Amino acid sequence: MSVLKSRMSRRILSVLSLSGMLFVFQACYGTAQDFEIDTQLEGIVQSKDSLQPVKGIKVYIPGSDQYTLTKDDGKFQLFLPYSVSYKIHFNDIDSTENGHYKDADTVVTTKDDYIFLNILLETK
Amino acid sequence: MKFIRRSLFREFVKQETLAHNLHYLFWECTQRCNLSCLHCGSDCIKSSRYPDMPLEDFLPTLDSINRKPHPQIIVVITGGEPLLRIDLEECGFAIREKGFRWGIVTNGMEYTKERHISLLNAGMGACTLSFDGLKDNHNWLRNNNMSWDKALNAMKLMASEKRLNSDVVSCVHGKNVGELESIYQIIKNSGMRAWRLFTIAPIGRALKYPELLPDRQLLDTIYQFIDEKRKLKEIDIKFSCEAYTGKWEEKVRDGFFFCRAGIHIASVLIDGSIGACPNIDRSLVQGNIYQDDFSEIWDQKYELYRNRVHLKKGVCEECKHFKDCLGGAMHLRNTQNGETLFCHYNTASQ
Repeated sequence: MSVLKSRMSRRILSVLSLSGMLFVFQACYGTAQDFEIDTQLEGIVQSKDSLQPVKGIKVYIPGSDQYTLTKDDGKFQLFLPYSVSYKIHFNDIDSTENGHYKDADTVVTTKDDYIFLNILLETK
Repeated sequence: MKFIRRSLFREFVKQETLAHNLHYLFWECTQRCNLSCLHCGSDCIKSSRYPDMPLEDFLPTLDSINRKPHPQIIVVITGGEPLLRIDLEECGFAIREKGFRWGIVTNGMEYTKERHISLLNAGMGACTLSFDGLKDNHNWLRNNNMSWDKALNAMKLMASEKRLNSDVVSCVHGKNVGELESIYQIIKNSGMRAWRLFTIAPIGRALKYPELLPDRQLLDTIYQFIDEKRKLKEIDIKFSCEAYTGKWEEKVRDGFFFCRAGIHIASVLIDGSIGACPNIDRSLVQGNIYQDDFSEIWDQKYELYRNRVHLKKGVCEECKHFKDCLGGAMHLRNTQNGETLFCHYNTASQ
């Protein structure tokens, strides 16, 4: 109860002194704080035929600079700026080095800040 | 009206100090640096005597903080130059996994497009870039002929990502103060949304270059420049939180001066020391993560940060502004005699 009272009185004081924004601050030699909403996208890419993980698949969202490549275990993860839905592309960019797969894409809609995808790629 | 707000703000500072909720945690993950800047406050070196702190040594600190509910905390990864760590992205993912946000302070030398993307992928949400003038002056202060080009490239990359809370910091001194307008235009045209101006503190390597330290003319010029530009509202320009500025309070930054070191801000330094801001004299550390539980130290120590009466010495002793300044920023304290190393209030015109 006393914690709540203390928190409330601090809020009131900050508003009255027009310093409400000072709950958001920046240390001398530090960065700004980060209160942006973003989404963590994780998943695994496997061969539809063998269910073996596929390495080296480019995972990206058209129009964004961000992309990542699947690792040895076929897994990938990245944080993306928040959006109601994402169109995510999977692109085999290393030719036959890790198998030869058709491109794929998927659209995901989420209210959550976390998405997990299990993607099966067809062999070319 | 300002008097009433000022009085309320004093009470706000008291309450915040009493509550001392951690919002901001520096992690000095390396002391290695790819530059040797003339003014470096941390006096870092190319090959530090300390090895980089392993991620697995740092993570228990976050576990310790997570034992109790807490506000959103950002881990600010600093150095040295954090981009020299090849596992920086791995560190970032792990920090996000623990529920914390993270950002870096960088000189931009290693900030390539590929690194920019991999850092964003790892959930980096904030980034601060050093940019200290036009080409000749920046390269001179940074002691490297390529540093300006690389910093400018980094600035454009950071500015291109709207999700990233990025800003530029500039150390202003006698040699570059005449370039403020040009720097402003470069930053604005890059798309960067925020710029903080510093003066150079008489600590670390800067002690060897007294000509870099601020004087009345320099401070007046900086304050006037910031005040004028803030009225334009083109970018979020402000004076750093390094000092109480007297009549310039609220004109050169949002709100009043408040040194939050040890009140909202802590650090884990390269040797495991638990401190406040990394540029504060290391004799003022409060514990060590290799021997102590971080949260216990945060909850039970930091007395000299949370009760600043002991700073009422030297020029502060009789100063009528002490109730608002509280002795200024902790990194400007001489730990030998307890007096301030530099008073911005007394130096600038009032």
